[in-house]
Amino acid sequence: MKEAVVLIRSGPYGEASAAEGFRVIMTLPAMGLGTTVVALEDGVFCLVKGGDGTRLGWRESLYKVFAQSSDYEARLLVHKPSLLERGIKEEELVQHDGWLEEDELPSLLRRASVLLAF
Amino acid sequence: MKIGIMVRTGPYAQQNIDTALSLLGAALDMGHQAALFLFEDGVINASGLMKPTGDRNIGHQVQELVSRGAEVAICGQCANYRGLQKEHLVPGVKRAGMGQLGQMVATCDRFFSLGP
Repeated sequence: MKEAVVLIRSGPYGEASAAEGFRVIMTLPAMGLGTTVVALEDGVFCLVKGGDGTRLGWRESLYKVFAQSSDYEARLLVHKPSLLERGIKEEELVQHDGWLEEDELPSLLRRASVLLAF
Repeated sequence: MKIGIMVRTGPYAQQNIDTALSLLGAALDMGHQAALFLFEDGVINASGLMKPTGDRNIGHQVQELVSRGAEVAICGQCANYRGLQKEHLVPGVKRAGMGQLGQMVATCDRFFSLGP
């Protein structure tokens, strides 16, 4: 199976990147691609529970949207160093499929035929 | 091999579309297939309304890529958000949805994005 990796590098609000990234994430598994989503850098904020995007005019808070990744058969991983650098605790995050350490990132990217960054 | 690129930024302010056009042009030169998907502000790169003064016309460059056999599509919803209508596009560029993006990605051997 062809592997797609989608890097979510942007925070949930202030720009549309993360939300646009999720629009793409929804389509890839349906096309038969093994899809892994990696929240890294400020992208880890997209998974922090409790943010209320509706007060900014968003239809849905993005942490709730990303929590649906498994419903679309996408695997959701969290880059652990990004989490630690930002002082976010594990229990603050929505449910996800695992952690990614810094030394695991290069091999994941090497295996990917499709690499998208948002 | 079929190589695909998604461009997420518009023309002139950033170099992503120039990089994509250069890489895909080189791929065609070498006998590969090429695909370009314009997403978010990237849809502006397919406008036929550009009138740069003494500079490259990126819209025309996108059209040339199409004429060389590349598959070029834009996100229709992104275009609607930005007021870019079908009649504004350079010939040969298709408006597409997320399903068509997925198909393009699935048919490419390598696909990557260039963005902000």
